[in-house]
Amino acid sequence: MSSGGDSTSSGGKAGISGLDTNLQQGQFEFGPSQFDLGAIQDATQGNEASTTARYSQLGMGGSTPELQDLANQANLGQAAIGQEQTADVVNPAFNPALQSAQTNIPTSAVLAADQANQQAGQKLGASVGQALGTAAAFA
Amino acid sequence: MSQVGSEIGGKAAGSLNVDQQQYPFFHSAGGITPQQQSLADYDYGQNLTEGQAQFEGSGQGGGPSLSTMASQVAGGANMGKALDLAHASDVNQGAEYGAYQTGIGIDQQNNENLLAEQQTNLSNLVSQVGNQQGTAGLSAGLSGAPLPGATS
Repeated sequence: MSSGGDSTSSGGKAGISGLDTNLQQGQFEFGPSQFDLGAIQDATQGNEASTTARYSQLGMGGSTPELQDLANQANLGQAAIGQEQTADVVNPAFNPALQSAQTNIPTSAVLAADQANQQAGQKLGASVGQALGTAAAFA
Repeated sequence: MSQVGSEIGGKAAGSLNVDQQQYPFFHSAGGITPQQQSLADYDYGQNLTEGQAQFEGSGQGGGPSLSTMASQVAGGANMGKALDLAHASDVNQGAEYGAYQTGIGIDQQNNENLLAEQQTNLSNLVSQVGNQQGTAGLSAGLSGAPLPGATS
């Protein structure tokens, strides 16, 4: 997982009203998932074991046909992994680099809050100024 | 996600300092349910039975016992099962990602509501302070006493 979300907490809040100006992109990852890899590799290893067992039963252990079949099993496993990678790499669920950055408060809300604060400050300043003016008039 | 939401909630209750923070990106190792495992096992058994039956008594090394063709059929069924499991996991992972996005949306809405509530409270506070300042200024002007906070 990308650490981008964490890194923003230390560097990107110098802007307006805590606006995060250092959003990070997710790490690019090729599929498949760990589970997919495990399932395919388990099948490949099982096939290699059963092929070895069969050739041993035939008394042909270590022979050229056996080695060819074992290589084919390994190739089949790699091909299956490649098939999964091709299907998964374009899926945001697998590839964080394709996920949009999301923040706990949308930027528009932070900016609106900042604007509201400014208006409130102006309102307070006007009220205080009016009070001072009133006091000066009576002095 | 809930941790971030709680953090914002605490800020809303205790202060007006709300910082924008980025959510972690979704990441999953994948996985399946026991029911999906059972389905894959069932399909595996079906494929194995059908495949090996083709070589029963065919004189091509077939038969129910360990044989060359039986090994090959089992190998294909193994790989088919692995791909079935992988596809089931892919579907699960996509659904988990959708749920994660939904959770973020809910958290964002809650935080926006808290922020809006803060702004309303702040606006009301400013109005109260302004009114009090106005009242104090008027009283000070009428009595000739110095205005609170005025230096001259």
